[in-house]
Amino acid sequence: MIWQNYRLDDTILKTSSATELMKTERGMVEVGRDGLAAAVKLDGKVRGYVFRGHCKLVLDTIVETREGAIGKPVEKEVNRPFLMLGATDKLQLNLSATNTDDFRRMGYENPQQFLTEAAELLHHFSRRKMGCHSFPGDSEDLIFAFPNDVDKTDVLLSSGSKLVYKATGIVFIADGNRTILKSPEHVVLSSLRKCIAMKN
Amino acid sequence: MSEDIKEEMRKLKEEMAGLKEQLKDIAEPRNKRDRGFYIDVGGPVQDYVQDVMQGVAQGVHGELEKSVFIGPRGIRIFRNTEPFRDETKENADFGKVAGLMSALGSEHRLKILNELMSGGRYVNELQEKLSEITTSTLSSHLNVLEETGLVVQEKVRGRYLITMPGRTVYKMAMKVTRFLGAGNEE
Repeated sequence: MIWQNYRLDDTILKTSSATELMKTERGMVEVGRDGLAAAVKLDGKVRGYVFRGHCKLVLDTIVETREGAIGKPVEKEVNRPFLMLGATDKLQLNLSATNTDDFRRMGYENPQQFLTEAAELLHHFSRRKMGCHSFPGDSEDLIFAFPNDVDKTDVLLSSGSKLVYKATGIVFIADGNRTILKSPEHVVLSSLRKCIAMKN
Repeated sequence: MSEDIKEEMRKLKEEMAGLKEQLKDIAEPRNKRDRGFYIDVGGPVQDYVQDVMQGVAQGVHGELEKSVFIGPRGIRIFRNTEPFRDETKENADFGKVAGLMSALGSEHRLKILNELMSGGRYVNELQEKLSEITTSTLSSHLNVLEETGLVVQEKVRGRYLITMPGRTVYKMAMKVTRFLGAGNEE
C-alpha cells in the first residue's frame, strides 16, 4: 500500500490568499485565506497537504437525462483538517510562515495540536483499502479526503474530466458524458444516449 | 273378449313406454344430451345470476375506464402496475400540491420551464429569451422553481436544469391544457 510511505512534514505554513485547489466542470475545492497547511511528503518530495481552514467544497452531483435532471449539488463548508494528495506543484499555492495567532484562530493552542490531528487524518486515510498503485501520475490527478460527521472520510478523486465522489449515502462517478449516481433516493446510470434510473 | 284384453294390454304397454321415457327425461334431461351442460335454475336464482353478471360487467367497465384514456388525439392505454388507489379518499398533502400548482401559475415560469425543456441554460441565456422581465424578476421566478424542485441549478457551472418532476409536471400541464382546449372547441 503506497499510502503508508507518506510522511507529514513538521513545518506548518499558511495560505496567504484564498486558493482554488481543484476546479473542473463539475467540482470545486477552495481553501480560504490564513488556512494552515502541513506538507505531506514521499521520498522527500511534497505530494500533498493537510489543510485546516475555511474550505468550500462544491460538486454538481447531477445526472442529466432526457427525462430531466436527477440529483442535487453538494455544497459543503469543511472546518476540520482535510487531506489533499496529488500534483501540488501545479497549484498556485501562496504559502507563508505561521505565527501563534494563526493557530489560535483555528482553535489550536500550539502547532503540535494541529500536527497530531493531521497525522491522525493521514493515518486514517492510509488504512483505507485502496489499490491505487500508480498515483499520483504526471497529470493533474488529485485525491481529497474530508472527515465527515460520522468519523469516516468522504473521498473525492479528480482526474481531468473524470470525477469520483464517495460520501455517506452518496456515490457519484463522472467520466465525460457517462455518469453514475447512487443516492438515498435514486440509482442512475447514464451515458450519452442511454440511461437507467431507479427510484429507491 | 280376448281381443278386448289384448287391446287393453297394448294400450297399457304404450302408456308404460311413455312413462319410462318421461322418467328418463327427469333423470337425464334431453337438452343436456343434445346441447351439453344445462341447468335450468329459473325464478329468483336466475335473477341472482343476472345481478352477479351485471356486477362483473360493471367492474370490467370500471377497470377499462381507469386504464384507457380517450383524448382528442385518440385512445391511450396505461399499464397499471400499482394496486389501485382511490385518489378521492387519499390523504394528500394539499398544501404541497397547492404550492406546486402555484409555482406553475405564472406565465413567465412556464416560459422558463419551456426553455429548459430543450436543455440546461445559463441565466443570461434565459434573460435573452425573457427580455420582457428584469433580471431580479427572473431570479425570483427561478428561486420559486428551484424551491419547488422543478428546477435545479448547477453550483459550479451555474446552469439551470429542469428536473425529472419538473419535466413531468410541465408535460402534464400542457396535455391538460390541450385536452381542455379541444373539449371547448367541440
